[in-house]
Amino acid sequence: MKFTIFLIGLLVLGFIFQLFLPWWIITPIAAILAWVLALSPRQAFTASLLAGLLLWGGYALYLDNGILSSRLGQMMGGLPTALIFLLTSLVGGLLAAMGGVTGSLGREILPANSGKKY
Amino acid sequence: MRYIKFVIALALTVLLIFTLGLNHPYGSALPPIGNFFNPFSGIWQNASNHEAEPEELVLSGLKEPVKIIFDERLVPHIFAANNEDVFYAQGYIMAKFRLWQLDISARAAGGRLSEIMGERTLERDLQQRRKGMMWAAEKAWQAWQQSPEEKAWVEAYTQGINDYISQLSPAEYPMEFKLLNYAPEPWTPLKTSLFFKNMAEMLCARNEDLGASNTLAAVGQEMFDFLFPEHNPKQSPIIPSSKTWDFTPIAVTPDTISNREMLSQTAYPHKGLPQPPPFIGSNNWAVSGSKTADGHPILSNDPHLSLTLPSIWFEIQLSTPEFNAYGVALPGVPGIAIGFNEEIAWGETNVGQDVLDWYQILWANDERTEYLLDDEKQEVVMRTEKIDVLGRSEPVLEQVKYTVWGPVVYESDDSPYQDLAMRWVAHDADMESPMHELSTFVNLMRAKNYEDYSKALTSFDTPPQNFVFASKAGDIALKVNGKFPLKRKEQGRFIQDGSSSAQAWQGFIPKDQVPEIRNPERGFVSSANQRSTDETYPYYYLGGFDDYRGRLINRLLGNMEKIRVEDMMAMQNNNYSIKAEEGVPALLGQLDQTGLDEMERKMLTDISSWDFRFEEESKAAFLFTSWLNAAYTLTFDEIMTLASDQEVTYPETWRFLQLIYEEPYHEIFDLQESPEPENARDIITRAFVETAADLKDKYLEETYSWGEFKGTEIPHLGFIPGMGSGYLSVGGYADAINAIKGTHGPSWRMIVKLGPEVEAWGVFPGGQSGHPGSPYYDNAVEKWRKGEYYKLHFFKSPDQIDVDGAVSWNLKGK
Repeated sequence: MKFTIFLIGLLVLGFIFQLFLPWWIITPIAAILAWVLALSPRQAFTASLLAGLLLWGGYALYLDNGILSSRLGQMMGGLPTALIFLLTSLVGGLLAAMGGVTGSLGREILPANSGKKY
Repeated sequence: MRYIKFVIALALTVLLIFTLGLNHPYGSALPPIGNFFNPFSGIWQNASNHEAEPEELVLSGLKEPVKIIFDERLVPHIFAANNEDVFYAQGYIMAKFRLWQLDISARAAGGRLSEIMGERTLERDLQQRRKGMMWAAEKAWQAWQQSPEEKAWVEAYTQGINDYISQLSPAEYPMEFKLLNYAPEPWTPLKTSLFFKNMAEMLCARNEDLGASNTLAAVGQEMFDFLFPEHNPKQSPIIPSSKTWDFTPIAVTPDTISNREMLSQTAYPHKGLPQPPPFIGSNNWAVSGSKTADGHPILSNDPHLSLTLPSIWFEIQLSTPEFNAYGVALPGVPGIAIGFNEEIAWGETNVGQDVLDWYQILWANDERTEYLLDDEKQEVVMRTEKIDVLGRSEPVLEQVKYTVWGPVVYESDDSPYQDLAMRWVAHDADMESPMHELSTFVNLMRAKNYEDYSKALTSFDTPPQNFVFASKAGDIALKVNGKFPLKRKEQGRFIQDGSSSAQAWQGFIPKDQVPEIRNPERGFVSSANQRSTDETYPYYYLGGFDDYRGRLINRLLGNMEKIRVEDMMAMQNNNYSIKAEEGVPALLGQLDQTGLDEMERKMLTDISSWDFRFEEESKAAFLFTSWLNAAYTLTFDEIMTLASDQEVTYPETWRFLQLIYEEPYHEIFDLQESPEPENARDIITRAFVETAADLKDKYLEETYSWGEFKGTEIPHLGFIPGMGSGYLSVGGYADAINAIKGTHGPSWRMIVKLGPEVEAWGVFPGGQSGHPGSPYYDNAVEKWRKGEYYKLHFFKSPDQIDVDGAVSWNLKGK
C-alpha cells in the first residue's frame, strides 16, 4: 500500500515540481517522500526507480513526434529510438532511486527511528 | 554500519547529480546529461508540434496591428500598416523559426565562435578578426545610421527578434543551444551588418593573388602566359556582344613598371586563408514576351550556395501600403533578397570579378609598426580584437595592424618582407550616401518599373551581383551591379607593391558605366557567373568565371520559342554539360586504344555513347569526370608538385581541353618524373588505364552510379550528425545548369510569370522551420530532389486567403 502511495506521490509531485524546477529536483523529492513514508531502502529504491522511469520516459514519449526521436537516434550513432527512450528513463529512474534510498537510509540513522523495522 | 550506508548513498547521489550536471563531462563533447534528457526542459521539448497554430499576441514593439497568415507550408504572409511593423514582424518570425541559425551565422562571421565552442574554433575566430570582418561590419552599421530609413528598418527588425527571445524560457531554446549548452543573446543591428559581410566573404572574397604570384615565380612568365590566358574564346558573356558602350570611360593610368617585376623569385610562405570554392554558381535569366507562349515575360533564378539545414533561405510575403512583395529572405536581413511584387520580379547571381587584392608591405622597422609608402614612413594603426574563449579565464587579445591598404592579414616571422595587407571592397562603407544594400532590397520590393529597379541598384555595393529583372510592362533587363575597382591591366592579378601609392585602385567604375543590358534583340537576358562582357568593355577586370553553364543557357534560350513555365522548370533541372560535350571528344581523340582489355572497352563504349547528361543513374558521368581529372593531374604535374609546400593557382579546364586539341605535343604534357618525353596521347591513355583500374569495382557494381559517386547530402549548418538530410539520390553537376554538387547546389529555384496576375513557382532544399524536430524542417527536400515546384501563394490582402490549412496570427501593440 505504502509502495503504491509512494509511487503515485512521486509521480504527481515530480511532475508538478519539474514543470518549473531543475532536472535534479526529482532526487530530493524522492528522498523526502521515502523519509516521510518511512520506506525500507529496498522498497524506496524500487519504487523511486519505477516512478523516475515512468515519469521521464512517459513524458518524453508523450512529447515526441517521431521526427525528434529518430533524429536523436541518428545523432547518437544510429541508436534505435526505443533505446533513446530507455536512456531518458534510466537517467530519471536513477536520479529518483538514489534519492529514495538516501532518504530511507537517512531516516534509519536517526536515534528515534533506530531499531524500528518495517 | 547504518551511518556508513547512509554516507555512501548520499555520496553516490551527490556524485551522480554532479556528473549529470557537468558540461563536456570527462573530456567528451556532451552537454550536461541530466538537463539534456530531462523531458521537462531538455531535448524532448524540441519536438516541434505546435508551429502551425493560431496565435493572438500583444507585442510592445508594434505601432499598429499586424496580421500574419501562415499557409500550408508555413510561409508567413505578413500584412502591416507601415514598414517598421512589417520588419518587426519579420524579425519576430525569423527568431521563432531560425533563432540558432541567426546566432551562429553572426558568430561565425564576426569571429565569436570560441565563446561557445572553446579552443577548437579559436584559430578560425582569429582569422575572421584579422580579415577585418568585425571592423567592416561596424563601419557598415555606422553608415546605415546616416540613413533614417535604414536605421529604422534594422532597429525594428532587431526589436522583433529580441522581443521573441525575451519571452523564451530555457526549456524553449532551440535544440542546438541545448546541445552546445549556451543561451541565446540579444540581436543587434551590428549582427545584421555582419551577415552582409558574411555574404561578401562567401561571394566576393575569392582571389588567386598568392597562388598566381607563386606560380608565376615558379614556371616563369612565358609558361605562365601560356597556361593562363585570361579570355576563353568560346565564352558567351553575360552582356551580349551586340552591346555598344555609349559612355566615355574614365582614363586609367598605365603602370610605369610591370608589377610582375616586383614579385620576388621565392614563394610567399603564407598558407592561404580558406576560400570559398571557385565559381560559386548561380543562374538567372528572363525571357521577353516575344519568346513566350502567352506573351508575358518569365523570370527564372536559382542561386547556388552551400546546402545546409536549416536552409539559407526563408520564404515570406511582406505587405504594407508601400509594397506587396514575396520571395526569399536571408535570416538576419530585413526585406526580401530575391522575389517579386505585383509589377516586377528580380533575382541575382554572383559576379565573379576579383574585388580583393593583396599588397606587400615594406616595413620600416623591426617591430613592424612602421612601413614605407612612397619612401615616407607611415605608422600602422593598431586595432585590438578581443576574443573570449570558453574554458579560458582571460580573453585572447589580438593586435591587428591596419595600413592604408587595410589590415595586415598575412604575417610571417621568417620573411617579414613578404607580409601582406588586404584591400577589399567589402571593407568600405559609404558614409555619405543615404542608401546602402538594405535600401536596395526594400526599393526593389517597392519598384514598379524598370526605372525603379535601375535606381534601386545604385545603392548596392557588395557582394557584386548580376541583377536580373522583368516587369509586367514587358521590360527585361540585367545589370552587372556593384562596386568595382578601376584597374589597369593585370592589376590585382598578382600581389601588388604596397610601398607605392601608384599601385592603389584608381577609383571605382561609375555606377552608370557598369555592364548592363535592357530588352536586347535576342529576346532574353541571362547570367551564370561567366565573364560580364566581351573584350570591348572599356574597363579591365579579372576573376573566376564560369565557362559552361552560361554558354548552354544562351544556346538553349536562343533556340527556344513559345516558352512556357514548364520549359523554364525543365531548364533549371537540366543536367547536360558542355564541359562533357567538349571534353569527351577531346579525350577520346587522343586515346590509344591498342591493348585495352574487355572491361576497358566496355567503359569506353559507355563514354562514347553518352549523351553528356549528368543524370543520377549514369555510369559514363563518373568515368568521364575521373578520367578528365586524372589526365589534368598528370598534365600539370609541374604545378601539382609545387602545391605541396605553397599556394598555387591551377589552369582552367577550358584551357586544358584547348591544349589537347591545339598543342598535343607541347612540353606541358611531358611528365617530370620520367626520362622519356610524353605527349597528350601518352598522358590521356595512361590516365584512362589508371582510372579504369581505380573504378573497376565500382563500375562492375550494378547499381553504382553518378549519384552515389557525387554523394549529395544536405548537412546540418553546425554539422551535427543526424540533423542533416543524409544521402540524396540526385543528378546534376557543377558545370550543368542544375549545378548540384556534394554539399552545394541550387539553394532556391524560382520562376515568375509576369502576366496580368503575377504567378510564381519555387522550391528550396529544406523547409521553413529551422528546428530539426519539426515536420517543416526538411519537408521540401524531396520535391527539390525530384525537380518539382510549389505554386507560391501571393495574396493581395489578408481577407483574400483561401488556402486549406492556413493559420492566422493577430499581433497588436501594447
